[in-house]
Amino acid sequence: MTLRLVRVDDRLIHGQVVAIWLRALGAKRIVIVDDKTARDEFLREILELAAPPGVPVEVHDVAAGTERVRELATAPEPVFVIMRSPVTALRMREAGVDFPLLNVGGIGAGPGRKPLYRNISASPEEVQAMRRLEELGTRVELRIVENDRPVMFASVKV
Amino acid sequence: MRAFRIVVAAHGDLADAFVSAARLIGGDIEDLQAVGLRPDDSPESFGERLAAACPDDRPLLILTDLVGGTPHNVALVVARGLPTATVISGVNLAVLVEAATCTDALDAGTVERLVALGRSALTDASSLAASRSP
Repeated sequence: MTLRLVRVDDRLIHGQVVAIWLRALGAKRIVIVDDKTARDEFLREILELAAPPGVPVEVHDVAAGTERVRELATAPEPVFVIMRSPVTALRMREAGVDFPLLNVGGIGAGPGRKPLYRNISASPEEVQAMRRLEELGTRVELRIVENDRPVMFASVKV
Repeated sequence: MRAFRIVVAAHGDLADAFVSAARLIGGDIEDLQAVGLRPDDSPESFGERLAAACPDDRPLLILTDLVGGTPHNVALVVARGLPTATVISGVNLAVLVEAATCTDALDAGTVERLVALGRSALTDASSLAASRSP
């Protein structure tokens, strides 16, 4: 198992990811799974530049990303997978990509979303996706940075 | 009189703090605005506030605090839609004060000079002091 972490963060690659998580995980590659970013060459470039030198960034849409992550999960290189929404994580899980833990680290407030925990909000569809992931055997933790105490989604009142 | 507007985009209270620190040094500085990333911001909500701080097509310098951080990432997206905007990331107070008191046009030469100044402003001060002591 070389998926060091599968994370939901709507900022994708940013300060917390680069300064804290990447170092803590020792990941050597970042894989972004996001349809919107995959379609936009400029956004892809920004994310590639946001990662530190020597850490390649791949950006895939959900279909291609699912296959790529499945492949990387059995390769020796430690990989950090980031997506914007737990709905994407569920789609990958239902397509047969197995990961024991989903880290939810940042979902900003927005229309249709309710506060869940600290800076994490979720829409009813996102809450449902996290519930379904737990039913499928993937534990869902709410943890913003590595040295925070993880709070299990199952323990949070929705 | 400066020929361009300045917006500082940074994490948390740092944007406001940069602006207030620059005013502590440079007095009343006009056309200088702060947009801070809040803990509950999404890139979209931060982008809306940043875009609102960049309302017209006057030349604009966006200074962000950290390469790869959300203010930097979002500033590049906002600047894409503004032909007169330039983004410099990794700002320090020396760069901000220099930019705020700049009377030149915001052209490639000015940007290059500001970046060089910012790099030279970061220094191992203890070594510098030790090398000068008798």
